[in-house]
Amino acid sequence: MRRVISFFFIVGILAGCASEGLQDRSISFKQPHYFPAIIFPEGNEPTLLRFELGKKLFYEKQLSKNEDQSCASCHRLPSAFTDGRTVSSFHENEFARNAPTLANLAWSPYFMSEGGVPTLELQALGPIHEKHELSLSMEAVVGRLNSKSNYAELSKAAYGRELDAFVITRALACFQRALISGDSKFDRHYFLKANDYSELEKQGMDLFFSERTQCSSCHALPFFTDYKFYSLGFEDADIGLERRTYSENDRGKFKTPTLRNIELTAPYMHNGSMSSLEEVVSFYNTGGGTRTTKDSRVKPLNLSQEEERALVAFLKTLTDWNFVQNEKFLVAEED
Amino acid sequence: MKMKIVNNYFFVVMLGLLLASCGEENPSTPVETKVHLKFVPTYNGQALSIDSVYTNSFGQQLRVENIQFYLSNIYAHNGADSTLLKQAFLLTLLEPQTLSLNVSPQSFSSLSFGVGVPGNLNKNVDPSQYANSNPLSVQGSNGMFWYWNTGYIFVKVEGRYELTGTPNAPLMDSYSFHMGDDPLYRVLHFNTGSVSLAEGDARTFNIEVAVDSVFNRPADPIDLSIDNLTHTTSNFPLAERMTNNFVTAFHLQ
Repeated sequence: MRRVISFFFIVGILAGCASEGLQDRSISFKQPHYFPAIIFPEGNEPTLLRFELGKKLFYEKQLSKNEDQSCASCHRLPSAFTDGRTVSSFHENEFARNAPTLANLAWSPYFMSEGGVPTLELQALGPIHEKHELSLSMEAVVGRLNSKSNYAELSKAAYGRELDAFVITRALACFQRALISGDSKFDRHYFLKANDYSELEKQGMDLFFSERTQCSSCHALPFFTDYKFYSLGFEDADIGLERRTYSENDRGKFKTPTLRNIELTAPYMHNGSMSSLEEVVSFYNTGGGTRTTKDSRVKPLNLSQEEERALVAFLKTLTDWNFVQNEKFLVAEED
Repeated sequence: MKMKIVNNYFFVVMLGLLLASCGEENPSTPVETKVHLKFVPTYNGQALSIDSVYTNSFGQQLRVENIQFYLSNIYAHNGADSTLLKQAFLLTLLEPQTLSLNVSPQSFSSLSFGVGVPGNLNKNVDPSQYANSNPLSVQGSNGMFWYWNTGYIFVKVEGRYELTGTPNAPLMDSYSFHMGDDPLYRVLHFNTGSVSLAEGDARTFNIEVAVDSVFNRPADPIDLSIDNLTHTTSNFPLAERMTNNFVTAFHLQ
């Protein structure tokens, strides 16, 4: 019922506007006070129609060569905008990677595992063109969408110009900046002092923030990432950051992923090689992989089995159920 | 009635004279000064043909199926003065291509251009900000942009090869050289001799692109059995070698 009401609310706005031409208005994204303010790029401040256009594009299968995939095919809301696969289905190449969550991209200083894309707007071009992903030229995308329902009208109302690469990248970025996740049990316990942790969760949190494990030195608050690049010692074919810097010292290094909603984003690691949080914690506890570029902090931790369980219990408190059940991030079925 | 007809006739004649007079003193189209850069792809001194099979210095047979590259920052130099003629072009060069530049009347003694895209236009640039007609735009770049690590592909050389050198052997394998990234940007200078362009003048410069140099430069020939693929990041040393070979292919005739 709630979804039905939400759907009619949005349609009501658009239908009401359509009779007199679409009218846009500024909106703001609700964010926790313990997150820094979002700095929006000039010219892409959020508005209702930009958000709606971006969402429509995010779920648009016309963006793919065979008209059967959209951004949401690999970034599904119930899985915190991941897809549950080892690597995304198209990715049968040496740089095949596990789909990352899209939570809190508004604060990311750069994008992709090597950090080679400086803005969320630019990032949108990648999956559309990439032959292993949606695999369609922007010219074809624009041609297809201009023949579909109200894209042209939405584009003009939201950005004051015809639908083109500029509009598509801006709108997708606008929608993705709204994907804010900061309402987990951890947030209520740590920032809002709810004091509702179990003993095991408290023990896990203490370990997580301890000098002994140093988990939080990379998975830093408030986003549980420092956005820097490290190697955990994996010896697979993916050379990671070296691909961008040409330095062997960067072989196997990847951007620190956020741990928010980690319970919902299995499998884990850049190559999706670990299926459970228990496996991940055990991997760290035994000192990680063997590649020479491995970060010095990845070393045997000598955690007991109970301590491993405590860390897993803590990680599960990072789930933001309101985020993954937020119907504003879904499109109406009719779309 | 008769007077009215005469007056009308007089008015039409005077208007015609006025317009004719204006046409002589204020030409509706400005007189243009043109510089044409004609790029002519060759292989061993003959016109390049995508249907031809060539043999490299290792006895390997190859066919050239695609050559694309950016030309940027085209300058005319006259002593210490330099005039920017054009910011960027994207060329597909399987047959002769002519770039026509509208320039102001000027004198110069050399031309220069970059092969690739200069750093200020390459990294951290959003191609969606450009109009579709711009060669640096999403559409205009025509596949010459890397989206996972933003930046333009400066040069693409693609085709097929076979290693035995057997006549009429099918060329089953493909080679692909995609060169880009700031360290691979190269600027070429060409002495033109003294050139003076007045209004209405046009001058054509023929620039041979000797594609055989890409594969057979004596200082660094390419053995396709070993070196047949680079997308720059996947094999930067080979991308650097191919770039150095490619820029030696340009000769002002």
